Amino acid sequence: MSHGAIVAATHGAVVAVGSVEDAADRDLVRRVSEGDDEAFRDLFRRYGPVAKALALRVIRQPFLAEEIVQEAFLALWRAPGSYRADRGSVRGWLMSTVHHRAVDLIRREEAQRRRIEEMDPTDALVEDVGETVTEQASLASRRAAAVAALGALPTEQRQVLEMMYYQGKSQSTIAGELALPLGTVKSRTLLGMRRLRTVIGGDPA
Amino acid sequence: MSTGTGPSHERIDELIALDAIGGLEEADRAELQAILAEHGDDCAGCDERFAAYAEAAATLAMALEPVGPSAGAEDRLIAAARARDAGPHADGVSDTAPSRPALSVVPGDGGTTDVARDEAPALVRPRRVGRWIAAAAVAAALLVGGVSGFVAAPRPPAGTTQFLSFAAQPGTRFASFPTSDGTTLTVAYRPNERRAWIFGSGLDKPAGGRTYELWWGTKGTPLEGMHAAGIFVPIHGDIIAPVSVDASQPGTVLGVTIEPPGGSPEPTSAPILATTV
Repeated sequence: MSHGAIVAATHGAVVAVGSVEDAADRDLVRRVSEGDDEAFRDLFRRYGPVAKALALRVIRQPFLAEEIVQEAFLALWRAPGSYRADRGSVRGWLMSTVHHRAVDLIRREEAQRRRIEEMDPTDALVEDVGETVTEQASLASRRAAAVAALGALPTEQRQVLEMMYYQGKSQSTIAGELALPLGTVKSRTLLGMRRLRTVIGGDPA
Repeated sequence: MSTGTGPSHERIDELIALDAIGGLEEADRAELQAILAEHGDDCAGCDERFAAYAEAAATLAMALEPVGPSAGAEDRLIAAARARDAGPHADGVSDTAPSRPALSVVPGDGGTTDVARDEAPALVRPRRVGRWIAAAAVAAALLVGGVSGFVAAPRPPAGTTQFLSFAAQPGTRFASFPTSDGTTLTVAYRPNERRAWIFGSGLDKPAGGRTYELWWGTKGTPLEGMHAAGIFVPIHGDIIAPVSVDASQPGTVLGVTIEPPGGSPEPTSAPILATTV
């Protein structure tokens, strides 16, 4: 079986679960908008660990990563109506919020380059002091699909996506570091994103 | 309402894809805003693309190994939400309005010093401040086993917003005190200004209403010549407090003592922690 076929097969299972998950998440947000802090806790338990992993991957400082995650969730608490169901899942919205905050922070840090060079990203995750996480089965399945989807990307596309998303680098910075024309970086990014969109199921075509 | 089938969606498709992954350049962002304004807030084609690319970008997040929140993080989040609001606000509440959680646990691996790792603090060496070194060792010993378990409870979020803003500014440096057993204490400072912050976790609250006090001095300054930088008391083990430090000179010494309530104009006890910047 080809790698792509594995992705597709995994994806099929996730989509079925995903629609239920997404509906449940939207219901949690609705309850949060009514002041239900148990729903708020549920969302945090569900997505807090992934959000922290993302923030940590971007900014490399556990202390600030956790702060960013907490800020993102508090933003949801304060203004649950800022989530728009017509623009995607709660999961995607939360990750986007965390990512934007983390990237905004790191781009204001003059020592970004030094930090990245000095710290192995895998070390950052391994050394974190967070509690042990027991992944929910549905999230574990989704994670497996995500890993497979990324693995199925051509290396050059995956490389620019990871530099942009995980390291908060701009297109021009990536172009400089990889000694590539800016247009090449942009085209690789777009090809990678469109491929992910198709594999994950967001492509209406 | 736009149907999303117009030719301009070819361009907006690119821009939304780049935006989802954080890859928009400034000029691109302006163009995206302009196109979105043209299409209107109810453009189904734009919404469809936002949803699809948000999901694609989230794939990169979902691929990461989850990292559990630190102990008590969930309770602190709930406490922060309750502390600032009677309940969630309706739409239109600015996301920039600060409603911050209390500080989280700081890892004991010195991770916060990496902005200036090549300037990592070393133990104080000059003869005059040699006792600071010994004191730091004593302090470390005192702290080992003396740190009570972290208690998750509501805490005032004061200062977190300002601290994060300060820490994110270019030129901020971090000097960590040598500690052990998960206790951390770090000063965030900038060499050319007095404003600074001290933050950390795992410290015991001094008995009898006493307080920790931070001191600074140039290299070789005797204990009695150190300048008061500010007092701080941990709340549930965690610390975040503004201080005033002049770290413009290389080798500036930082020290922490335990002082009577309200602090002292000069150190009245041996330092329990010391480092240099």
